[in-house]
Amino acid sequence: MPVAIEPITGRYAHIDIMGETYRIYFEEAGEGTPLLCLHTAGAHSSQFRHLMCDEAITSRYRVIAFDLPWHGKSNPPVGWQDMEYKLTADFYAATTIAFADALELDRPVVMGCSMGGRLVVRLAREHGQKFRAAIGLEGSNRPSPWWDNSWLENDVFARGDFCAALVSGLASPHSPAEFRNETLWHYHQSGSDVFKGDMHFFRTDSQFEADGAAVDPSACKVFLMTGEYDYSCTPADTERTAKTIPGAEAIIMREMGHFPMSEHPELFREYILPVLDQIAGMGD
Amino acid sequence: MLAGLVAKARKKPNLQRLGRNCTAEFVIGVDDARHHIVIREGLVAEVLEGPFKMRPYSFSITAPAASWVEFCKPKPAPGFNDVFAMTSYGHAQLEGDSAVFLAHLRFLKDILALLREDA
Repeated sequence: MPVAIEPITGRYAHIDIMGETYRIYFEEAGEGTPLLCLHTAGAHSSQFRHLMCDEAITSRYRVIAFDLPWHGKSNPPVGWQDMEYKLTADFYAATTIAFADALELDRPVVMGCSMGGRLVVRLAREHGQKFRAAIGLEGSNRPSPWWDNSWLENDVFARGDFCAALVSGLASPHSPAEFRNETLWHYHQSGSDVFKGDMHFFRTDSQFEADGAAVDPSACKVFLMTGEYDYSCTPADTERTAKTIPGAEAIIMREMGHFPMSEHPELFREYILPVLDQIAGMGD
Repeated sequence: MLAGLVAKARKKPNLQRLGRNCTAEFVIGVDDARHHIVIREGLVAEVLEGPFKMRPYSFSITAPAASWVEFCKPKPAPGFNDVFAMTSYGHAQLEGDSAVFLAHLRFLKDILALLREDA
């Protein structure tokens, strides 16, 4: 019996971001319109592996996901040992734009989850001409904390098992145990204090409420898709955000949690395929 | 709800391994009732029902009985599937020294998940 090999390929690109060169790992599969995927805090690009193995998507979309610096197989900057990692909105946006430019992606669809879902609101405003659409999974336009920021001073954030346990309830009880636990394993794998560094963006530096009104829907339509079990970005957060962005569409996903693409891929495709159909129908 | 918790935990050797460095006492509050859960080196040693006179504990998780009933279902409704979901929506309160809870978070959440299992 032949070995099962997935159609995903992974490579490294050396990309200049805000004056520094980073070695960035990315994975991709498929051909067609670029679909640029942004992983959640403290995780990496493997969260999108199911989309990359779905012919209904890869037959018309080139699905690409990179690991942010410090995450997965992307390097931190040289000299990391003497730094504290703190993700800023400026760096996150600059990294995403630099990656899209370096790979010469032609007006990709940008799709981010959680902190990525929040970033797309800013990208749609500042770079709407660069993206044909923005999909925010579990995305809103401002922090809505469900634990106290003082917890960040606790050393437990250096431990993967803690980061995984902190977010474990964000996965839906309806999602298959195998994929819920795989999603949590990504948090176990995270580098020490990387999840904490991402929280700087997610809890402090991502107040984008004022950005929404400036989105031009004729340039970049925004879709916000949130699971009903998500208490980090609640359905109410998502619906409130959608009302502030011209032309934005809010989709609440039944029985879904905070990690739709990785915790319940079969259910997620019921929601994402119609959105990708709609974007394909918009043309260039 | 807490019946059989000691026995259920003893059937989980991996749970005991996860909690091997955890010795603590915490409170599960159900309406006005307080239940002290005594953990010794990863084992649920005792569940104490009181009455208590200022007995110390590190942290408490309290909720109305109806919230715990929903929490204990195999597939709870949104907002009830996790202790943080319940605190986030105001269905439960986490009070006291949360550092103890955080230090052993996976182990203690797995103990709470035992409440969903039959005795």
